Amino acid sequence: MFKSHGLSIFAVVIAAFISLPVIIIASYLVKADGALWQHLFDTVLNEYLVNSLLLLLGVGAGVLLLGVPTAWLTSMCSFPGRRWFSWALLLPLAVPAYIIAYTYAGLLDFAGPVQTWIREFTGLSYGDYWFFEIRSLGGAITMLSLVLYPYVYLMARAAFLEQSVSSIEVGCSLGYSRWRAIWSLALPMARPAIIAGLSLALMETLADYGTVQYYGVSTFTTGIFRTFYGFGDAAAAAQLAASLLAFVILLVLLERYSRRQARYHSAAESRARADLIPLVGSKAIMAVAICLVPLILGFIIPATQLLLWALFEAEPLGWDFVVLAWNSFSLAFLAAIITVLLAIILSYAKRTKPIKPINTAITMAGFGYALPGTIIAIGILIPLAWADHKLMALFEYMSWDSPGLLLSGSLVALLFAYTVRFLAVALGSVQSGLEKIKPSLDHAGGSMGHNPLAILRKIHVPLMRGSILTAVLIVFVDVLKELPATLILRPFNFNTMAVRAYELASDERLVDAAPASIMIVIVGLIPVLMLHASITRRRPHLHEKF
Amino acid sequence: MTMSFDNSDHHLLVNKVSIAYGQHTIVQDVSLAVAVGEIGCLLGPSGCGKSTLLRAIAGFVPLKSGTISLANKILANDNFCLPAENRNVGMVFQDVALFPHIDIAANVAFGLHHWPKPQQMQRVEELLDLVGLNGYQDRYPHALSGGQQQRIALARAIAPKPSLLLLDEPFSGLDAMLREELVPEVSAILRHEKIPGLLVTHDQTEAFTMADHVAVMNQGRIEQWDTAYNIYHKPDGRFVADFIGEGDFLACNVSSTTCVESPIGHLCSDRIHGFAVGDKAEVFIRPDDVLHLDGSPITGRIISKRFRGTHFLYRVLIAGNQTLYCFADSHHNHEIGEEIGIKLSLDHLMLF
Repeated sequence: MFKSHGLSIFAVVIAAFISLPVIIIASYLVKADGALWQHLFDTVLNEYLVNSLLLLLGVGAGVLLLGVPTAWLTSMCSFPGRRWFSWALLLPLAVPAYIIAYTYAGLLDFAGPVQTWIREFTGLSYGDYWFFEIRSLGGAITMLSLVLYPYVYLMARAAFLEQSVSSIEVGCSLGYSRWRAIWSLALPMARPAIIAGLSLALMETLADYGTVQYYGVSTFTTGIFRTFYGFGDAAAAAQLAASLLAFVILLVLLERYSRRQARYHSAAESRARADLIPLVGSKAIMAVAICLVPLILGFIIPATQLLLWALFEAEPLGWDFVVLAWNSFSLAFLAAIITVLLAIILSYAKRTKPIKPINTAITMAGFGYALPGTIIAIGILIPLAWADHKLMALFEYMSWDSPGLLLSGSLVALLFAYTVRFLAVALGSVQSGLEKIKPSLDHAGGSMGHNPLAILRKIHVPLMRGSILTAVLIVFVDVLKELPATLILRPFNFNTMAVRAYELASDERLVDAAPASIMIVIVGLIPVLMLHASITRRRPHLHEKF
Repeated sequence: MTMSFDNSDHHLLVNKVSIAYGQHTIVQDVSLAVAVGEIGCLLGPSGCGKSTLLRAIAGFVPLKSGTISLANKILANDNFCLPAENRNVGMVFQDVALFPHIDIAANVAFGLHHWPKPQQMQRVEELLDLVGLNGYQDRYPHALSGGQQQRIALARAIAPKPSLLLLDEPFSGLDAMLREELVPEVSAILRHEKIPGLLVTHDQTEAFTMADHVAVMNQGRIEQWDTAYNIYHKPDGRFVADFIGEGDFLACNVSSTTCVESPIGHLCSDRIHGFAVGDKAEVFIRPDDVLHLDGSPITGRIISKRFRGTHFLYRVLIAGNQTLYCFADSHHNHEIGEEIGIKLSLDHLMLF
């Protein structure tokens, strides 16, 4: 169907537009301004580099520590609450890092309830006792680990579930004790998947702006903001963004390599039986404790605190909040529709003509998921500002009234950024939906006398509906949570819930930030629960039994 | 049925074993024995408990009662269960379960971890020679075909020279051609290595090709533990007769100590069948007991036919309401609906 070159050409043009911001930032890697580099190097680069590396290292260790044991326990052992934990452990994924960061800051600060209680209980006052400083590198590492470990958990769990139980039994029949077989078989077999999950978590770490800014840790992302806003230096900001990009590219390569490995590492046949290792007594209590820690710290405490603030302490919600919510929801919906439409066009272009340029275009367009919002924002501002200047010159030449910043100062820039960032998510869902419609279905429809339009209507639309709705929903929620790109690109006086929550929190009005935050968390729960449902559906035999 | 064996010259001894998951009894009062150099087989429909029994012998499932011993050493009874890793019992699994992250040599050497390195290498080469895959040492499992993977799984299991090898439906994932090739090969390898084996399968061809003794299992019990020949020709009970091969039950009246009257005439055995004269019984007729013979006084009408290359298998209706299978020479091509002559060729009677 649609056997025209038009679709292919259109797809390549879309992909070119989508990859424009990356190409622009990447060009700063090559055409580096020596003096500027020198200046950055002398002043801030060292600090950014050290902090970013420490952050990566810390979060890497943190997510492995939280993600792998929980994944192993919930997939290989049986203990009270195992089934419940297996999905509850995904919940922290719904909490954006900047929200958990300021919630814990509010809880653990000097004036927060915890320290106040300590003072009241012991009679000590300021300076008499030691309490750890949450606004620190260590604090940021803890916060990011608490909300990003589900990436490792998900990938590791999938790998453990795919492993043949026989593998461990083969180990035993060859003279290995159960625990030794697990250590030398189950873990190495899951390693590629664990590393893929780790690289996703680290990409999110590099992309984070809200947490590190709020906790006063200078990294590349905060540096980009400071350079751009504080000094108004777009070139230097782009230069910093380019350095950050280099890190991201390394992580993307690591992730893709691991995913390829993971394909070979998964057993040919999925497990026939689910023989779980029964844990009883103290071992069962340990397992429950290990699973409870990330769940309580990563979701239950922050969500409860936000809820309490929002219900009992925050200013009553007024017209402002309605406007805010309307802005957020309509913007997110618009972005989701645009993104999914583009994803559908690209997917169909690939299906009709799976030729090299199209495949490359899709790969390029799908790169955005790894890009920090700050890089995308700077990469969009530079070309749009240039275009705006040209437009203004044109208007002046034609003696029309100046239109203002038609592109870079409007929602166009924001929608562009969201599309770049989230097209990969939409592409993933749409393409997996399209893969289910094998070409033989088209041929079958054709052989029964249906024209391409009828095939589209009677076969494709019903089969694709679910995947398309999923794509719209996931992009919608992601846009709603997005912070850094929105902060940079939003039009003057245009606020979203994420931005407003962040601004209120930055002004130390944590309590008033709570209603918008809890709203974001609740909406964020939807895709997490859907994710769980889709995993359950894929392995029905396991969940029927346990 | 209940059996018991004495300990002498039996290698694997399963004595009155019952296995239960909670309240649900999977295996009930089962006994069998495999001698040194023998291959035994557990044959039965899915869900009959054969895999559970095998896994109990391997050490993955505890016993409710009974004893399992190997070379006069107790492996498990109702209150003791030697861990799988200390039993020296090898196992080949249905899903192959090669370790995907290490190469073939490392897979085969996996159970040799306490051997010195040079001996390990030598043993790996010896085994790869045996399964015809020498030169594949550095490949990874995903690069091998299904049959090659199963050969490697066998090599891996017998590498540490186990005193018993368990095979859990190892051929069920393979296509028919490959199975035909692999089954006698595996049997030959086990006999060459002098490793006694116990195979679990639901395929009687596999069982008959490999095993010296076959246990036909049904609903957690062993119906018959016997040679393949006896299982086919002297089935112990209706279930075994029905489950093994094809055939039909014909109602008959016992007319003497060796003969019965059936709808297809007077049938006599070469031995005393043990039924009392005047009893009602059923005689079991195999397809190869009924031959096609033009001009025979007994005739049957063909209601379906299958051409099998070397012969025809007709389904014929005789005596108005009785259907039987009938073998015919591959040149005797008759049409459905035709009346053909049949001749019974029975040496002994299977009466129930």
